[in-house]
Amino acid sequence: MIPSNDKSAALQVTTVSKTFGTIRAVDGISLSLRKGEILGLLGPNGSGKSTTMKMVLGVIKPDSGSIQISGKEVAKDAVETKQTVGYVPETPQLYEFLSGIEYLDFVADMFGMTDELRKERISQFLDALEMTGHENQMISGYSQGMKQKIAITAALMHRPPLLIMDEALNGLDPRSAKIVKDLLRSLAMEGFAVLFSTHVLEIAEAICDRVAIMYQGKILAVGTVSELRGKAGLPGSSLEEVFLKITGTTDLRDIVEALSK
Amino acid sequence: MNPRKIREIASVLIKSQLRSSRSGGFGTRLFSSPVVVFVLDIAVFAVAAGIVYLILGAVGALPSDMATLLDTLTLQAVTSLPALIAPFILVAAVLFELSVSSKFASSDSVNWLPISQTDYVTASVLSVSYAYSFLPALALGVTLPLAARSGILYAWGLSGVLSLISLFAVGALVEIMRAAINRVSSLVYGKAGRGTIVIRLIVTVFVILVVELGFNPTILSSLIGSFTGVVNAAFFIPFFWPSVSISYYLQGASTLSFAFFGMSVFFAVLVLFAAVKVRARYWSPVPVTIEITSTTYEPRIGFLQSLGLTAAEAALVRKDFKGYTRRRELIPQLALPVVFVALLIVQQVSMSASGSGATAGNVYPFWLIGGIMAIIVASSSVGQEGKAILNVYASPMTPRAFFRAKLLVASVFGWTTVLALLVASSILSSTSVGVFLASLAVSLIVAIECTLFGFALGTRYPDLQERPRPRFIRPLGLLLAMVVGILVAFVTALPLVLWPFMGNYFESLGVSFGIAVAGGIVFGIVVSIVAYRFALTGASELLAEIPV
Repeated sequence: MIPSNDKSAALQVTTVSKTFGTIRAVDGISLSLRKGEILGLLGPNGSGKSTTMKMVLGVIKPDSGSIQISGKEVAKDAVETKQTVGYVPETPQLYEFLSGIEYLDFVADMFGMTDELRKERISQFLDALEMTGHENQMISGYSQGMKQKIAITAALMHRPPLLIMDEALNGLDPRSAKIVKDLLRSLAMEGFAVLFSTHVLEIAEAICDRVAIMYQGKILAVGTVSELRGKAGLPGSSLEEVFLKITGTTDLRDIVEALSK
Repeated sequence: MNPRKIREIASVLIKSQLRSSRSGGFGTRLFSSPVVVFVLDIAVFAVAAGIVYLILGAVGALPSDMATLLDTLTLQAVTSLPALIAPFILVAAVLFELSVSSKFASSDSVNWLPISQTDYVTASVLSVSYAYSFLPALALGVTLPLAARSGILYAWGLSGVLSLISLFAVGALVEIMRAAINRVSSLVYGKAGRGTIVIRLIVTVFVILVVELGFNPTILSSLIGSFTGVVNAAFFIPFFWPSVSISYYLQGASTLSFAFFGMSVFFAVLVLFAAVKVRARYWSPVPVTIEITSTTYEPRIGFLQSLGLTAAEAALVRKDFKGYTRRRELIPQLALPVVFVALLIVQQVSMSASGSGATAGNVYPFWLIGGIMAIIVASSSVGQEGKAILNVYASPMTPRAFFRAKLLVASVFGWTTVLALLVASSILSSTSVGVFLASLAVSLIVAIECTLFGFALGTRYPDLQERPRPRFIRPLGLLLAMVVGILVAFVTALPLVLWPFMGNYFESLGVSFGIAVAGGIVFGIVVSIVAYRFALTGASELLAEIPV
């Protein structure tokens, strides 16, 4: 059962809905994210994951419901709550005419980081993600993975208590993906909260404490992977099978056959 | 060449121009089809022809000297129509067609498709020609009743056909300009480094300046005036060949007319061929890496923060200025003040040469130029963020901070333009200290008004879509910004505008020049206060929710 008013929650989303034109993107969802927890949002394309994350960030206004970050209402003070959030979008939206270091400096200024702190953190991230030596190049020349690394650095370097990561591992090489996954686990151990969306079930299984399955704007189930297996009546099965069962899309044979003709 | 593919690509390019909004409203749907351009062309043609026809009907029979004058003017208009298309479209092209971001200019989005360079370039030329087809439609509509009245309908028909050929040739020339600017980028980027950005900036501004001066209507008009008499001056300028053809036709020299008609068609094909050739050179672009600096990163408090800006505001200002020097789609805006100053110098020099003694402060509308510059920069300041505006939304930046940063950048452009024009003018002419100071004060306040209105409308009508030809502000927003901005600018500068003609009258009423200018400035301050609030609420509304 989702706690409705958990005071220790890093994030509390209560019956939030959002409609774009005639499309009900998010339909009355509620979820809670505790400090030190990684919650995975799992769902197919168009299930409302990104919209949910943008509403949590405060860049999209919900039509109804409430979102609180560390007890503060996002709708009432979006600027203050944004100070405590790091966000990695689904597709990195960077200023491509800046160099990597100029972009990170820009973000550090936005979050009011001190000179010493930003220098130290930027250097750490660039080294860890093997971006040292590329930081003075214009972002327009970066590969997709390099852009993603810069976006991740920008989101994490000011150490926000809440991280919102929308398909954050997209485009990363295996080494960098492993570093980010381990970093997230390490940050969670320190009390940071992470809301993490992905299509890749193995990633969700590997790093998330709990998983929320979204489909057509609704949360169909929330729990640990073993709890979800129990709910789906598929003990011992993979998260993929659980996901397909819960979203009602188990039988894909007809589709595959049609495509292979 | 594959006509079906050309049609499809042209259609996509035109749709990218038309579809600036994803709101899905009736207006958006209505203006989402390329056919609408054709319908608008017909409407513009019909309305223009109808109005002129009604005016001619209302005027009735003219005295013989007036009738002769009207016949001469009609003859000149019909003859010069194809030649006038080039300068107008090239000016528009610098602002709207060369502003292609490198993301799209590299043709990455199309060069994996099974299409040839000829197909793509022809389609691109057609899309540019189609986008500006309202110009010949308007001109042909105005001249139809006049040509019918003067009995030169066949010449008008010939002018219409040749105008379309000119339109196509100019479209191909625009494609060559794009290729030239891309080529400059490739050459300098091959060496990489911060200095290369400066070189690209200077070369791009130079290309734009040369084109603007080369096709300056003032310079052209003196040549065009000779068409109906001595056409020899235009023999060597291909863009004038259509007009020469019409001129020979009107003189009854059919063979020569046909020859120049053929040469006009040949020239259009030649320019297209050249456009294909230059475009082919960067058809499969090599990824480039630009090293901005090789020094180790050291955070430092910049000059802007010492002026009182917060770190976030200063970061946004620095980012925007870097954008103006590094983004291909923004460099034309940076080139505008240079072009304005160069045009002023050309005009001043030609005035001196012709012995015209008017003072520049009274003749040259500094306030208007600075105001228009401020409107263009301020109104596009939000849209030029593109999808990366998500960075602003995701950061704890207040609307006021966003507003202050954007206002500063746009103001610098407006004020720099005004100051550069005034300094150039005072060096070239004997502007009195009084007129200079009055012009300066009025121009600066006009720049503030226009910046505020431009930003206010830029926040309400941003075009954040990233596409081959970004606009940064939706057409209605730009129209409103221009109308409101120019209107308040005109009222503020009214003393400067009226004094040369009505100064004695006002002084007889006891109103001195100083008092009149002060009145204009007070009006400007009041308007600025209103515009300030309008702009600030615009920033608040914009940052409340990201446009989806």
